[in-house]
Amino acid sequence: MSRILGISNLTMAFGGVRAVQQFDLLLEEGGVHGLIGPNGAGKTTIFNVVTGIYRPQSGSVLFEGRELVGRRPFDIANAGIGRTFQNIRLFPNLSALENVIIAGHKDASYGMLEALTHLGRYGRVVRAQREHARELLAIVGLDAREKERAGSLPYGLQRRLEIARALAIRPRLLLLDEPAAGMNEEESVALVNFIREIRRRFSLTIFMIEHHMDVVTSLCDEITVLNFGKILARSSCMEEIKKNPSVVEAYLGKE
Amino acid sequence: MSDYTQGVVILICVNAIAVAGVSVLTGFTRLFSFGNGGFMAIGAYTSAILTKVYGAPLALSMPLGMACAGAAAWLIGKLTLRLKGDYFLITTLGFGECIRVALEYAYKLTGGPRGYSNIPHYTNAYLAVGLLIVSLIVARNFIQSKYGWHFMAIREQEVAAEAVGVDTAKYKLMSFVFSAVYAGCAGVLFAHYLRFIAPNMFNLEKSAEWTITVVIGGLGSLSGSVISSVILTLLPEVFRGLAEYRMLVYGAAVVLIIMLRPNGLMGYRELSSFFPALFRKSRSDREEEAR
Repeated sequence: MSRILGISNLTMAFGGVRAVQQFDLLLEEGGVHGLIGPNGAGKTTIFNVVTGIYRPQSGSVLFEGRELVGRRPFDIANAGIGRTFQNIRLFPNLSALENVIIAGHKDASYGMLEALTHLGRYGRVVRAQREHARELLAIVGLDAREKERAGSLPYGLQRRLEIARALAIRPRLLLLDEPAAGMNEEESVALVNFIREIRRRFSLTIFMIEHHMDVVTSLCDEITVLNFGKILARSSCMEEIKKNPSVVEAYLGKE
Repeated sequence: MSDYTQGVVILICVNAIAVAGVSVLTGFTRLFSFGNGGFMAIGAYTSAILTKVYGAPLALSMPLGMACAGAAAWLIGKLTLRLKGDYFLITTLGFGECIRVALEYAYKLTGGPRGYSNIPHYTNAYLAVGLLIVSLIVARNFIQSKYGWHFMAIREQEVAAEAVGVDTAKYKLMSFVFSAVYAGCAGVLFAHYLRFIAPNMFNLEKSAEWTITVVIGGLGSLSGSVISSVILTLLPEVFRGLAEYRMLVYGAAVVLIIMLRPNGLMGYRELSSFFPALFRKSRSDREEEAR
């Protein structure tokens, strides 16, 4: 196993508020890492720094040995990092299929002239892209609803579509921001199986933020607890985290 | 065809070509520009000067006029596209007016505020309609390609567009240049039809008119924009006496549209989706149904 992501000494402040302080993390290829903590702890901020939306005051983010800090979000995505958003961000007026096709643009190997005339490689490439997008929709169970407007799909399916779209960029690292938000127990179990499936199938490394403890426990092989922008605990054993008194006080609560 | 009918047909084509460009920019990329009148002026003056002074044929002066308009947009876009929506709009307004004023000051070349006359007469209704058809086909192809899909991704959700690897700065610039090239093309046609051009023909009002046309026709609908431009060009011709109140009517129409049909007459839908039987299906669609 080799290291895919290395965050070191990361500090991100907004004005006087230090959202993340001295954060570090090492992700091994093929692993699933969970990031938990109370609201406002800085979890999504870390995702936004990794994907280039925010530029940190200090620290470094290495992906496959290359520095990400200072690069634009699209560049980081093309380097192989896919993500979903806590508050779903689909292309609402486009169909489910179009949402996925747009993300698969790296496969679109035709030039401007072919785009303007629809001649040459255009037809073949677009058909291949559509096929690939359909396969991804089938994997997330949306193949029957490919023509529907993304914005009018039910909430759970929008989450799945967002994952399909993230997979279309052929990522090696996938960041999931609260994938189980708003799901009941049954749906979370299905989600766990689904994430296991895509991880195996696309040999992904997964870094996820989640509040459902059962989802975190069954998926993650290492967990970091964040509170007020600082690392409170880190362990590969959920039981250990559950027993940690400062985690109980800050986040889990006493039973 | 009488001269008058020809004139109306040509004016419709000129407006529709420029509006098709604005439709790509505003309807598909959600960027608003009040500077496209300036790009039309660049196309018009470039071609007028090349043909009159240097005796260039239209086949050369037209692409050059379009290229100059595109180049100006590329420069302006490079400088301003990092700005957010409203600020970008204001800068395009400023640059559009700059182009107009620059044309007035460069009177040795352009004839200044009194205008530039005796431009060779090349534009007839057939050429105009032919060009309109070609430019609509090209615009439709462009929108239904990866470039158009990237524009739509930017329109729909800019953060997500970046997150799936779309270089939003690059594609915004591309969309802006595309709309300027179309405005330039409209300018060339216009100059060789009227044979006289003056800087104040290409003012803010022109740019605003095109944006309004696209909003009325429906954001995200190329055919909607074109239909709306045909209607809005014809109306003042039909109601001659009311032509002076055109902008008043436009204003009222926009308010009504935004209240009653916020997506415009045909928002996000093309003509073909209303009358599928009338439109021959593309090969890929037929293959799709056969499966």
